[in-house]
Amino acid sequence: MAGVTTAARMSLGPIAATEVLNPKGIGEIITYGSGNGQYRISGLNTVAMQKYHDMEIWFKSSNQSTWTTSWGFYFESAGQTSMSGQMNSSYYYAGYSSGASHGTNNGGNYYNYPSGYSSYGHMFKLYISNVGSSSNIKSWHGYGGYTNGSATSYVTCQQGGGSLTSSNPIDSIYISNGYGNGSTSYQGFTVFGRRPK
Amino acid sequence: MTVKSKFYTLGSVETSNSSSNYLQLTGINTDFAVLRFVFNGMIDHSGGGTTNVASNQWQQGVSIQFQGAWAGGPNASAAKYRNHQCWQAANSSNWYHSLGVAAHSYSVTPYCEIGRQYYSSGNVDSSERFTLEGICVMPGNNQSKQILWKGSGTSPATAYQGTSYSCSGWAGETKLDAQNSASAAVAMSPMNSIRIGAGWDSAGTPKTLGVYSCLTVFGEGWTSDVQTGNDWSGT
Repeated sequence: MAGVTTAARMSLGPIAATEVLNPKGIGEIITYGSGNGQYRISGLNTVAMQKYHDMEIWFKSSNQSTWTTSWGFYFESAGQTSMSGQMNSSYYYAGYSSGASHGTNNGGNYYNYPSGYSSYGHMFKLYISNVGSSSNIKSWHGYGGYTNGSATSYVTCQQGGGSLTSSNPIDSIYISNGYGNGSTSYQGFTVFGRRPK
Repeated sequence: MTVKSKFYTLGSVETSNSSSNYLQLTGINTDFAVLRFVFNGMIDHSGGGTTNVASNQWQQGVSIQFQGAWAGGPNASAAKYRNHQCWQAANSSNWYHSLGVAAHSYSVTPYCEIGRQYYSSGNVDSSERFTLEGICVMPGNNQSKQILWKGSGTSPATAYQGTSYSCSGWAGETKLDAQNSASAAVAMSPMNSIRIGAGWDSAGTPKTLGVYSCLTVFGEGWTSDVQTGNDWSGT
């Protein structure tokens, strides 16, 4: 930008979109529950969720009597039809002493590492945009962390996100959780509607 | 201290075409413990031929301004920002960071900037959309406010580019400059407005946001201790 003044740089063009300040409720709990190994959060394209553009999900993800392993998810349209082939995503995690890893999954499931061990905490927060849209691409972003007491080598933080190249509404999310021997008390989720229509 | 449960979606604005340079919210109610901003959408790097962004190059993410501190805004004279941005490229485990913005390294800047995208070519709607969240604590007080940002990166269109040219995450913090003598006192005004833009190309020409790009602000929580007034004249 050499030679371009700040004033010139700030001379923006027309705005096609105007502000809309019309306070509404922040959202509501759409559904919640627990999982056991592989599980599905279903019935998302419901009357309740159709009041919102976006969705926020809080996960806890652990395995019973199993050390940390990966977990992930993919989106499904109506009829539990997988849309994983239309997902492009990137992930990253870093551990206290276990190093870091990174990568992309284009045309596949979203990858996350790690899930937790037993009742040691692991949480992951996910924000998904345009969930119920039948005309727009979806994108998501998430982050989380994990500790397990004295086993410091498994202390990690993680984050990532991606886009779903589909105009079909998301109706369900399939979660694959590592070794899949989780007790329902160790895997849970709460889904919130966000950005009211 | 009184704490109440008070959570609202305060405002939302969305592009209806690909010709908007920015999305803007003003008059935001700052009577909240936290404001959370969410942007989802994309930058139209192709620019419809109006900008000179070259294909197959890394590009900056969205531009950010707030508190009316932009050209023509009510606090235009205070448009001096500090910016710190981080990104994690998928071809390395390292996190990278920079101070300032692309055009103003480690200096007071006329705007802030978060994100980094590899622009392949064309208007690649399928893989260039992203979600970005910002948190501002105590938006209504008379102290300098900063917004902490976190968001996802994106994967370019083709598979071979996806491995080496995507970012798994972005993070950053933005604030109006409260320490430089050039800053006006108005920098301490409430966080009652924000503008998220598509940034500029290397020639300084503003880029545009893609259609269905959206900016939303949530007000979360309320406490009596947050509101300390905004009279900065006596300090």
